[in-house]
Amino acid sequence: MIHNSLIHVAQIIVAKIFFAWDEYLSFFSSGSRWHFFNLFWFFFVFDVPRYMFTDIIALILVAVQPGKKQKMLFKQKLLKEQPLVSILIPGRNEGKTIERCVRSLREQTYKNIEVVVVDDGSDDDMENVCKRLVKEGYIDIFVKNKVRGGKASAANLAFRRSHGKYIIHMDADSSLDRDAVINILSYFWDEQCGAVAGNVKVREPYVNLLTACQGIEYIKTISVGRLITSHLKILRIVSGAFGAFRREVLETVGGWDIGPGLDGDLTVKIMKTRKHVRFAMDAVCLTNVPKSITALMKQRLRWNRSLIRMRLRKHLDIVAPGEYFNPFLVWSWYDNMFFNVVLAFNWLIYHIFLMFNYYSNIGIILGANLILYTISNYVQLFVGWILSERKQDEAGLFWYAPLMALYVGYFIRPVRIIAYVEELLFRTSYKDLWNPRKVSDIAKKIGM
Amino acid sequence: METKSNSLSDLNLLVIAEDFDIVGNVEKGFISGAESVEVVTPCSRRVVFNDKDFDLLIAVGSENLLTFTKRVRSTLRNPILPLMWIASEESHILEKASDIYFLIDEENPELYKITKKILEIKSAVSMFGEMDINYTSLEVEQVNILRYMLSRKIMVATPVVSEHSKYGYIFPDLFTIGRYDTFSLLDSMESEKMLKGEFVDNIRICKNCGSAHIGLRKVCPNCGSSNIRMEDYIHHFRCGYLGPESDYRVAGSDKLICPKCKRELKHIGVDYDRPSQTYICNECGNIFEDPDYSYICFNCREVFKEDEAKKFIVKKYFITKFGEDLAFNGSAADVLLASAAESDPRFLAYDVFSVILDHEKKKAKRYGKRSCLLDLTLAVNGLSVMDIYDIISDTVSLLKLNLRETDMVSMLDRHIFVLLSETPCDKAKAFLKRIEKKLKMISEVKNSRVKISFELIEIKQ
Repeated sequence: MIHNSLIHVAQIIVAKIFFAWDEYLSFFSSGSRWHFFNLFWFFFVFDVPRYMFTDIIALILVAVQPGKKQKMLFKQKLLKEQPLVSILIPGRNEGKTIERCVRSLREQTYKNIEVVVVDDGSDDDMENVCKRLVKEGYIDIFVKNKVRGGKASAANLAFRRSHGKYIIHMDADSSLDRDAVINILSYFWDEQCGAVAGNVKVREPYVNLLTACQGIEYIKTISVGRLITSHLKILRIVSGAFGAFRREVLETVGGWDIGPGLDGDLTVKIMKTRKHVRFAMDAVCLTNVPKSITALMKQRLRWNRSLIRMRLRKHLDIVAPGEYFNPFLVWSWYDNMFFNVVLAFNWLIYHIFLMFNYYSNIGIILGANLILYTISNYVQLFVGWILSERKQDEAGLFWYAPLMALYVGYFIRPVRIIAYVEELLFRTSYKDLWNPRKVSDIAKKIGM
Repeated sequence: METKSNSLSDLNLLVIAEDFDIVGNVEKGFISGAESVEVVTPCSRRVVFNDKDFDLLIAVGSENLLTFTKRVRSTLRNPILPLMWIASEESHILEKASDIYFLIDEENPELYKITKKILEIKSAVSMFGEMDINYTSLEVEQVNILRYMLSRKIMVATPVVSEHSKYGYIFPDLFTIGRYDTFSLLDSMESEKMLKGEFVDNIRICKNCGSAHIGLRKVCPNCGSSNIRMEDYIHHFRCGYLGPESDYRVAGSDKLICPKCKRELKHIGVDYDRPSQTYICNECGNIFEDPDYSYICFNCREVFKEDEAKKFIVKKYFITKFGEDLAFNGSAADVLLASAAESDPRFLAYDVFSVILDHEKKKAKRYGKRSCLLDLTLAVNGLSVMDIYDIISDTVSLLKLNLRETDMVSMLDRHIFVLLSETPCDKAKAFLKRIEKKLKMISEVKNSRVKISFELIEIKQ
């Protein structure tokens, strides 16, 4: 009896799905190819070339590995000569995270490192924790600033106090793989390379749906995305979470300027000196990511506002012919502006376009879009996974890939639009308490 | 000792002075009537006076003479004799260190007061028994300290701070007594339970020479130099540069110029602030937050880290019951004998015992009675007074349990004599056999460093 009714229910479900698909297919098959393109132009024009093609390039690059031999030789040279490497960790209220961070540095296979921690006016127990870690030998230099000065000033002080030939900047809430330091340094085989970006990944992607989405996002945009842009010499950011610099390059550009977005800003400054920036896929850093939607929104609003502030205001001179003209820098500027700013607004326009032209079928079209994006996301995640050094840990992310289309389309992009509009119209970033008030006031006054 | 006139007549005096001129300044009549006067100065060739008993030690001079006085006094046969100090300048320490004290310019104290004091000490000293002849010089010193304290009624030796002492503290009461370092002597006496120590201070002393005269300095952790300065960090808001103030200083100008953006910093709070401070080494240029601390010893010039300094506990000392008994009896055996005699009539002082022994010999001669004398000899090797005391104490307990009513015990130096009255030799041997095993056990307790041997002497016709 129960058996029969179960079969009956199953039949109904199958029939429903079949009819739904029938409706879909009839909708799409009724029109011409142009009609089909008209519906999904956004996906085909922007996303397919941007992501799907680059993935293929990425696979080829990893297979070919240009500079592999020089890198190996340089690595041996480093291990033989053991130049001092200073690791700068500026932070504020990082009492809970700093210990794990510096402990991961003790585990490094490269041993000649100097750990410099600057406490930027914390009001938690960071000072006590750090003083203990100094005694235990995990931190070499610790400076406590009683008055908060902002992240840039803390990084600059750490740099001023460091002695290393190479400088690594990392965040206190991050920690490194055991071979991360030697791997990131090995990219300095290239004399023209001024800075190397580490491969930043999410430490705990399985906490909730949001962290899982960020886990996939980091693999897509950082692991794969930066591999390509690095080879094209248009990598536009050395993440503050984990990046390495030559000392003299940092001295030339004067270290960090006022943030937010100080890591991107520093990268641009380095590229202005005609040095270029590389991405170290094999230098892995794990970082904490926001676990709640409000925290994530706050973080992304800040990042995106800084893009406007840095690219459209401070460094607009890079696109004009002049002192700093560097074709790669211009390209990276366009790449950045186009794929972040233009596409975000375009995404909005696409939706408006659909609403006006295909209002009655908008549900079907957006649904189909989701499917297309999901396929694309699976391809990208698969490529990232193939390239990953921790395949087992990241295999679970495949379950969450279907969420990515919603996450990017209806969270990341709208947040971007809000941030851009806010910053363009109201200069909201100067009100952000991420910087101390005194610093924001001055930055606003001088238009930085 | 009796005093008759207004001079220190009939006394043998030893005068210690900084130089002979000062002695001349001391009123001639004051010491002129003395039986004999010897004068010694730090320049004298002869500083050892162990051939003669002096009645009074007179020191004339300042605190500078203290150490020399201690040295001379330690050579005397009776080092605990009275000390009179005629001080050239006022000194609290001299007052405490001597028995009679007055200033050289003052009118001399009345003579009867001096002689009264001398008599007081003499009579106290006369109460003390003969010292154990087997005692080492250290043990003699220990007993002398106890006797000195008791004869001066110093119930507690309290240290006070002083720049003259290696340890920063001195025991003014005991300053001139003893050949050894007072601190280690008192410490050894505490471990032998003659004294009981009580905490006064916990100080740091030089790791090399043990001197307390050490100076603490903040030094550069890199090069160890104490030539360091403190500087403010300056944060330039505009460009985010943050470094020590000297980074912003330009030679020949009062201006603060940012080394990163070359702009002038004009107004604190607007252009810049000073978020914290740092140390900079003037020698090697090292910048550091936490200076190292190091000591320099003003005595031996050793430089060492803060945590390398030795700890030194300064204590004040009380005489224990055992210490008091030891001082009066002169040997640990006598102390025990005295305490055993209190509760057991069979334990006799040696002089009484020798009379009885004599009597026993006479009886044997006249009546043919046979008695035996057992002579237990302790051969000790490197054992302290306290250890010997323990061994004798155990032996005494053993004897108490095994002796008959008619037997008698006495001790002299390292010998315990047992008189087994009217006991023929074979019976005495049987008794000896009974206690032999137990005696062996006693001697083994202290790592066999003590050997108890016995001899049986038959008293017969």
